[in-house]
Amino acid sequence: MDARLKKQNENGKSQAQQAPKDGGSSQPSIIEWIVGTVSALLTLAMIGFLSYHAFEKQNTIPQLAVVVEEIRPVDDVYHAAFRIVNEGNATAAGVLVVGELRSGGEVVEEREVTFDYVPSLSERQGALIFENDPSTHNLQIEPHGYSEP
Amino acid sequence: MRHQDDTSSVNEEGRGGFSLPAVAATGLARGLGGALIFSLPMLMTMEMWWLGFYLDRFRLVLLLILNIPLLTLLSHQAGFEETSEWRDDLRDAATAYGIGIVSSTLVLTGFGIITVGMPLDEIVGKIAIQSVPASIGALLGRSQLGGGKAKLPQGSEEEAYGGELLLMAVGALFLGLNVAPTEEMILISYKMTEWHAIAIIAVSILLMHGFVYALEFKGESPLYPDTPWWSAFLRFTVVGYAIAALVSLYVLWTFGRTEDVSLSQILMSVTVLGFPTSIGAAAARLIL
Repeated sequence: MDARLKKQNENGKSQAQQAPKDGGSSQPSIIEWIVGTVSALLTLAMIGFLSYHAFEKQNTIPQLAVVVEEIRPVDDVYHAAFRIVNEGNATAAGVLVVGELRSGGEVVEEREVTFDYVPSLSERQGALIFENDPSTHNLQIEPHGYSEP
Repeated sequence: MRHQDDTSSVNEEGRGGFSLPAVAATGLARGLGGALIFSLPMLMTMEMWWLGFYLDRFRLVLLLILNIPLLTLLSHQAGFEETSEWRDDLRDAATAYGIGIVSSTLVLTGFGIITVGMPLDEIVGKIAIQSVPASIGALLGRSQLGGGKAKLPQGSEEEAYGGELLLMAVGALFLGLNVAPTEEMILISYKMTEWHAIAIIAVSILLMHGFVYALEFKGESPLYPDTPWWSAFLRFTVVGYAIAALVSLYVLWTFGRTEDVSLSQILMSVTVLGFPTSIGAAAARLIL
């Protein structure tokens, strides 16, 4: 209440302009101004960040890379868990990831999985399921293609 | 039950003589009607069913718990009766939650979305996620279908302002829950550029300001006709947009849309979801 009175004194002029209709409380309280200012800053920060990215954005193509995380034996099969990272500025849709197990240049087993989306500058996780133990073979997991969302 | 007074004075005027159980049943039926009106779009969205079983349990529980004070405050601010005691508000909130759970269970069972053979975790999850919008609908249905409108918050100026902001948050949450689970939500953000996002923010704020002017300058609100535009803009429109954006972020986080996603992509989704949520926030007094 004290703070509000102080605010009213400071804004003596504007208070006169907004003469209360009911002889009461039409003068906004200081809390309203604080909340308003914080909100304005938040919104401006959002717009600022987006503008910065809009200007900074150069080439807009997805840059996809697969990082194998770990091989998890589950029952009789092996889950080769991986992360697919998109370091590009564009989102890739329908990303086909193919994994091959090779032994002496020969493909022993091939598995694939499709990611609905890999957003720009983001990552997704998945796993390929092999019957042979990937740790005793040469494991290769690569993104094969994508479409624009 | 106390809402006997309310319903009889608002609707059953002159007809009187209703027995206590009949009045209670009317209140429950209105709640059920409101729950269905508000939550059927979500009950018939498959992403909402999936969320029921893959949603992170901690976030689901947080949403369910947050819904309790939200309903209580909503009952206090916009309730269907002049509630003076928190005990009454809590009772109304609990009733609304109960109606929300029952109506979600009935509809999901009727659609064959939940069946006896399913694991309990899946059944409970599917009902729980739907019960949040349904309970908001139940609470509002009791006031809307009863002929009443969200009342202007009483009390001190700060309380009235806080009440306005709460209504905005509920309006934002309600529309946000409606659209956030669909895949289109994130797909739109992938199709947009940052320039689109900035334009959407500008349009959202402009529309909100239109609503603030259309709805607030009716004499009884904290705004007066001679309030300068920038004052209303800063204290209501911008605050409303910030609330809508924060609610959007919360809903996206709850639905697991922010996992391993870059900040700029999250912000894009927030602006996309911020469009309907800001309309929901601004029009809260119309909808609620």
